[in-house]
Amino acid sequence: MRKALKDLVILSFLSLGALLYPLGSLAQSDVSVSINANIISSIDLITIQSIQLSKEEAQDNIITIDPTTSINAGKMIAIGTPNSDITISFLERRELTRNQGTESLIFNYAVAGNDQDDQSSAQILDQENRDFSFNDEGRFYLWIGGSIDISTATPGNYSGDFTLEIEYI
Amino acid sequence: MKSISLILSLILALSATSLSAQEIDFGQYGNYTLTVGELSTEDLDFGTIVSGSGIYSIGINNGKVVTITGVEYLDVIVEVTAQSELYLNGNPGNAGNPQKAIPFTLEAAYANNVGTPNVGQAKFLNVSGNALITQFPILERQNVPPGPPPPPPTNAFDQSKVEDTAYLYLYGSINVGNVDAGSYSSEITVTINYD
Repeated sequence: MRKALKDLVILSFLSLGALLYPLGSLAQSDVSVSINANIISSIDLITIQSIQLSKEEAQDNIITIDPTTSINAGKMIAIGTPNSDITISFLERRELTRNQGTESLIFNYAVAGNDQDDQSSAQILDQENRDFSFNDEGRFYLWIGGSIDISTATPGNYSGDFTLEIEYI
Repeated sequence: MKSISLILSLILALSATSLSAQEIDFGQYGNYTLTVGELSTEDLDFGTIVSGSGIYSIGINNGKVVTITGVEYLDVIVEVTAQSELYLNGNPGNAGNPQKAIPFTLEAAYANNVGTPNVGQAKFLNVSGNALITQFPILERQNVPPGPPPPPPTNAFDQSKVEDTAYLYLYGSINVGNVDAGSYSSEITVTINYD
């Protein structure tokens, strides 16, 4: 009787052991997913100097301001995310309207840009050359010039807009 | 007499076990494999965003899809944990810094329908505090009475004959305040076990 009880105890221990230990291995898999975002600053444009048309001499009734050499060129600074690539576009032909009348003149803009504050080494923007980068300080310098034919112009003051667009690429 | 006491203790212990465990975890009793993959290698990428521009969301259709391939009639327990922010340069030291961290809200769903899982069949998951634990079968139960328990695997067991794939969709939104420009990132950790 005592032996039978001992066997039952051993059998019970074995049964309990079987319940506690799984028969097979437990499969587990892990994966890590990255979340990313590239944050850029908004772009600010600061006008340092407007185009000084009246200070430029006309030659053959055409006033020309070279954006890479003229001290009368307008100057702007774009401020954005350092070292980011940008594309710059602008409307080359804009209409100037006489303030006291309806007469108009066509101004053909020319723009030069440089990531250094150096007008003489600035590059003229055109259809093939309008992709640039902000410098380490997040700045890009622009000089605005152009030409206007005043041979048929009525004397007076003329004004108009200049539209320049800078986008991150 | 001592032996009888020991037997009674064992019986009591076994009874307690059977009372608290009403569920049989079939996945624990076999050498089943579980494979987790990614439908595409691309990250959950919010792209380029201007600082201070507010909430940007990636919907379920453009989210990250994690594939879970295993025995179709077994349940898996899926645990997902995401950090609550994206950090500038991925540096957790920027946590809580409003200029160097972007709040992230995780959303999740899964699809385990017959055939190729798809978003239209997805079941949305309740995510609390950017974390969730859920359980679902690799292949959704069909509208038939439950069958007998699966036979225990033997040497002749071929998992490929009873294998299927469920999809786990991870997506969400970020709220871009006036943070410093730069690259922000963090991680979502997914752990999957058989039940």
